Amino acid sequence: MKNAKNAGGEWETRRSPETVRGCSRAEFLQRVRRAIAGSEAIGGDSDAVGSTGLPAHPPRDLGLVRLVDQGADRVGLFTERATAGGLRVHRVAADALLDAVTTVLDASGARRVMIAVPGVLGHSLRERLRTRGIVMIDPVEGGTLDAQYDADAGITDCDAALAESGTIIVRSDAQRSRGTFIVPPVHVVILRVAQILPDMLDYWPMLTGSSETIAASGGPLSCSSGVRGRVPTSIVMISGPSKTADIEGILITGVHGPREVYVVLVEDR
Amino acid sequence: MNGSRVLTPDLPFDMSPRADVAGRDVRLQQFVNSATQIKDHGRVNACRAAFGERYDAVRRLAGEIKQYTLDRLDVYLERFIDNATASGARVHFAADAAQANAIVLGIARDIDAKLCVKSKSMVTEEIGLLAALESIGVTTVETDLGEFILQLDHDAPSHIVTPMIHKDRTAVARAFVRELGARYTEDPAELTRIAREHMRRQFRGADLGISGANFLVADTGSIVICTNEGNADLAVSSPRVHVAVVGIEKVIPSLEHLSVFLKLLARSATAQPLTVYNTIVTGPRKPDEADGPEQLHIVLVDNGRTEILREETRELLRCIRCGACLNACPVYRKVGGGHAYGAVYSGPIGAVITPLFKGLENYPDLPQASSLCGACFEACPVHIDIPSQLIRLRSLLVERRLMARGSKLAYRLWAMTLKHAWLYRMSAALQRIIIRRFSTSHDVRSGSASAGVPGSAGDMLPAAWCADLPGPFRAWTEARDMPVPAAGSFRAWWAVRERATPPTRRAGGA
Repeated sequence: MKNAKNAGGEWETRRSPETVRGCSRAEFLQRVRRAIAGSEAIGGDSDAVGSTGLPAHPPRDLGLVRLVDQGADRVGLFTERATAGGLRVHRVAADALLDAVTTVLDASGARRVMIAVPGVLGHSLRERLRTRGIVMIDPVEGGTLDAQYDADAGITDCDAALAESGTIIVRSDAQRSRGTFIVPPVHVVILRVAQILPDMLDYWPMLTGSSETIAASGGPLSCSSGVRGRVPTSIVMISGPSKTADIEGILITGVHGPREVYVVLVEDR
Repeated sequence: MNGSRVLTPDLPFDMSPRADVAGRDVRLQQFVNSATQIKDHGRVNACRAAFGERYDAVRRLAGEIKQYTLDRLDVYLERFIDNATASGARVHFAADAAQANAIVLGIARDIDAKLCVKSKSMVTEEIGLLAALESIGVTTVETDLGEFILQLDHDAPSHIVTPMIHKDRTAVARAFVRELGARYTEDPAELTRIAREHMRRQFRGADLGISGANFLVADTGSIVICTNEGNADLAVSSPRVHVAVVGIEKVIPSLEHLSVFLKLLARSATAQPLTVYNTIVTGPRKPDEADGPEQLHIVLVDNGRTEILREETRELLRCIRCGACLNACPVYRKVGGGHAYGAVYSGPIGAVITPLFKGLENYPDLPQASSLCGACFEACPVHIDIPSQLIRLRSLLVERRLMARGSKLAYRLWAMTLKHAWLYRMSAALQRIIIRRFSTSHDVRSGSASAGVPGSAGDMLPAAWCADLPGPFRAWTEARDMPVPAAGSFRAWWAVRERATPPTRRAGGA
């Protein structure tokens, strides 16, 4: 199948028939149904099926797993837990943001940088770094990802951060390449204080734009309508530098991803 | 031992030779003991610190969410398939291992793949995907550091989460010298750096990335991959095709529910608040995105799971592969880790699901490889009652007459003896005589002097041990010592005590 080399949106049509070796969707689901039906009927199931014909989700209060309440000291907890996880948090005033980023880059000796920060901030960041003689790397230079592997640092903004675990949440989309936070040995992430959420439970409504969550209502969540298409291609929750303890349980950082992750925590204006 | 045969032994599998070898390997016992105990304590502390008194309710909640989903798995699977397809992913269906491999090989051929980078996945171990890929000439690199080292050293994983729990740094150092031409070093940081440099070249050149998934989110059609190293993120961002091979039991309803499992998984597996990288992938890259795979294939795998989905065993599919039950299990520690179980899934959860996947007649020893102490049940973040499942399999062993002829006869005699008082008395007397005669210890009490004295509890404890019984009983003492019975019986002791105690005091003290 040599003609698959331009693989893109229409790859499906080029599949040769002999490569389809699984079973059909109908047959596959039938096996599952037989296994479930072979057992005793589940009591009350018909009540749980909503008007869409789909079951409502387990009607339980997920508030039980909440670890940080709305009123808690989000910034203090985030800083404490992120630091414990190995993130290096630098809290700066809004007008000191660009200085803070260049300071961090200088300290780690980064000369070639990937940037996944859209908008005005991304623009001024590039301007500033250019004046410092730092080379900006295009994630798809010459049609390959090779250049990413030569970058010294990646700079991203973030979607949100979690106080409960000292976590930053990075998304990938048209203006944010996936390689930025994982390929270079240093990751610098720009986080605004207002973006710190108490608990992971608080992130999902923000992401899917749904005001109704199980945690809030205790009731069933409506089916996927409105969610689909809004979820970014890739969301990564990052809670430290890349880590391994595979050799005798000894903790080593930077095994695959960055060994240093700097959080530039920007005060609200 | 050749790695490829460790987890796929000749069947029926006999656990005892491996357990014996491991039992004599002091170094192995030390690695596995210290590693599992550290992880077990870490888990307890992390869960207690986060959830406190709520912890038990939290793991019940997690178990209920999974059970609810499994009870309606067809509906949630359909929802996942529809949403994943809408996001641009291509979903494939594999009834068994052969179909799953055929699907992945088909994709590899379609894109003319040469080099594949793989992140750690139990289901790909289960179906033997790596060997299948290599057989059609696709060089495949395990990128989880532990799995990478095992691959280099032609060894097999011995733990669900920390696969090289049975190896030390010297084994790593030797493998790196031999296979990578590296300079000999025992420094873990330096060894890790060597692996990083080597694997970066692989990631850069790979055209196929293979991962498993920790969760499938029905509402959004997303796959969720959790790693501490970030290897999965590299494997699903650089190559132009990503194939995720996933068992059907991984479905959860929504992203909200994901919170429950991510919080529990990291604490149960490695005592972390969250795994370092929790990656939620929804569809292949969009046309305007710079990187990420052009194609995302999701291979849903049954391979025996619908058998386990039957009501009696359904709860076993709640398992999120955190490895907490392995770390908590005294038997897993004693047999030197996972290899003694002769299958991909080891420890308490493996002792239950391996016979269900592969046939009880092929793994009759595994349900017995437990002291039923319940540590696994207590450690399980999704509240799976593993001891009851083990007992259920033990009854099946009896029902299906899969026990060794010797044990069958012994249990029948035992049952008969317990039903008849006179037989019990007689056999107890015989045991006393025989075992005391064959005792290898010189410390056996002579008998009459202490045996009949009432009130002395020490007389109830074994005074000595017998390590070498004759004839058919040797099988028992080969693996464990037999306590040498006291010279006098309990019944005799009781009779003496009754006579010595005044009747009035007895009545008053009752």
